[in-house]
Amino acid sequence: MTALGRLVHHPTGRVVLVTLALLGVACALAPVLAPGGPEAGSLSETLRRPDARHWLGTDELGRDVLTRLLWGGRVSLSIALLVTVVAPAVGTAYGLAAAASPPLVGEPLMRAVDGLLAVPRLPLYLVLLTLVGPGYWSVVIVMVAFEWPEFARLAYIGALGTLREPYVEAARAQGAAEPRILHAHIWPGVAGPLLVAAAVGVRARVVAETSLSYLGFGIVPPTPSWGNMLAAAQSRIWDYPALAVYPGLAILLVSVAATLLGDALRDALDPTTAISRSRVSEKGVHAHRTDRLAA
Amino acid sequence: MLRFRYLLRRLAQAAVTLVAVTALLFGLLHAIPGGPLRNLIGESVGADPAAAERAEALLGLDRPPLERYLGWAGGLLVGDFGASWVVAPGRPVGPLLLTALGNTLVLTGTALLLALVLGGLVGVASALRPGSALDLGLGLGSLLLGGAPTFWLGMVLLIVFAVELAWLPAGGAQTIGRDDPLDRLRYLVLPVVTLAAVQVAAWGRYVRAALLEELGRDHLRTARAKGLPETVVLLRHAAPNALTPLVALLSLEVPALVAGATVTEAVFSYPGLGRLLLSALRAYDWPLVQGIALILAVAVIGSSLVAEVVVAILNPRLRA
Repeated sequence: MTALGRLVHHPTGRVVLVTLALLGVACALAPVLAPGGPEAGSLSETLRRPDARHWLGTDELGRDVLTRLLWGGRVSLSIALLVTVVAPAVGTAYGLAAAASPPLVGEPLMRAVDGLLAVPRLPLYLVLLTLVGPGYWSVVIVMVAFEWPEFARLAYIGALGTLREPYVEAARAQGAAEPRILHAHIWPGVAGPLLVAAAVGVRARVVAETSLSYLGFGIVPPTPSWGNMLAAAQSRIWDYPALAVYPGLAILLVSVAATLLGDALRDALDPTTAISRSRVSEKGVHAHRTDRLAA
Repeated sequence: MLRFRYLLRRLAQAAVTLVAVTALLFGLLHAIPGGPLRNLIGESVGADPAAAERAEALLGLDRPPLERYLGWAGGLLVGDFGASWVVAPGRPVGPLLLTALGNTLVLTGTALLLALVLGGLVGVASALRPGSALDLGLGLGSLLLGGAPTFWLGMVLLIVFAVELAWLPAGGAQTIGRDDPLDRLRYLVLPVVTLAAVQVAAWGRYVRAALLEELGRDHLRTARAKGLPETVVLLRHAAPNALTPLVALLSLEVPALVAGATVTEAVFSYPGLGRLLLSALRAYDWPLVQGIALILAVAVIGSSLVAEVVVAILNPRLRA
């Protein structure tokens, strides 16, 4: 059975995949489901309680909350997805290149990666976004710029470990070309941890984007993001606290689902062992590290 | 002797890194098209060139960038961080930083302490009974608390305890005009709980995993087999090994102590370093931004240096 097949048959994996897919499709279809757009609203209908017309009520400018949740999700989810695709791709290419080069070149290349990994990300994101200005692509670029080193590190360590394996030596002795060795012998050993890290990191990416937008440095109004919706909601917590509930629940749903997906993916890629104690420990340390770095 | 030379080399490396980082940031801040002045007063730079020139001279922006950086770095050596431009016009940056840093350390230090104690207790308890209700609760708690963004968690606490129940103040660090520790404590509760909540789950999970791994080792079976009481097995034989990696993880926390509370400080309008950074960036107050960045850089570089030196002292093999 392929890894994808095992993921689909994994008990939590299936539920989580369906949840994320439904949410993703709903947000992607926002222009169809809520054709009025996220900025349509009537100032005579502000802060309405939920009813048949506005299922989750309206916000402080009379805009439909559900509509804005869908459009905001389009922004927040697509940023997380973009970074989840681009950062691992860049990082993997860099890490593999560093592993394939002689140590005299490869080690300085990885030193730079270590330096980037040591930087507390949020303050730096804030400074850079101040300089380049807020907006969708600014957020994507700034996040990719500091997300790829993690994957470079993983790819480098994985590839270096595999390069020394006897079977790689054997393939080389048989006259296999370097690209063939990379593809057939190195990549399978490196891909698993990279995929898991990409999936587990979705949580941190959604939280990072929403935090930046909440602080006013990421996605700025009137474009909705789950983060700036919460910023607007905070100014109304004294008279209408319910506004602060929905975007937060949406973020919570996505990040819990992404975490569980990462766990399921780990199991699917490594079917020989059930969740062993030592693996739980690795997971704990890793989750802890990424949490603190994201903060 | 070797040890001293090693230390000296690492110190020199750290100093070079610090200079490089601050110079890079300085260059970035001053490289924006139009210069810092355009950010401060916008398009009106062009309206009155003479006034713009006077302002540039006042802020020292008429000098070449390298001279400005050297001037700033030279001031640091005598404890002068420069003067704020906008957030507190004309006031020296140093005291502003000191106050904010103090507030932040009180917040993050208390939260870390709380998280370590609670997380340690929960972790040990759930490692001793894997699969118990507490153990499952820890798993669920870490999943939910780890998933909730800090600012939302803070807002939920704010709504429950400040808005609905009105037990605690909604923001700030103290009631204006009052200066007693008890009053400050009331303002600290919500931010500390917010910041600690996420960490409790993480530390709990970590301690649980480290201890579980240790409890399966052979030397513990021996300790039990020779009839030692369970508390001695746990404290004398399991804990020391399980705790060693914890110390390494703690060194990672030092930068977080300084920078890790930005979002929490924003939610609760807590006057710490993170919130000062936000105001400085929003106002394009570069001297303030540079000062905060310097503190951060010192925390990051310093903590990794200290961790490395401690490890090197403990393990001579790593020193070559």
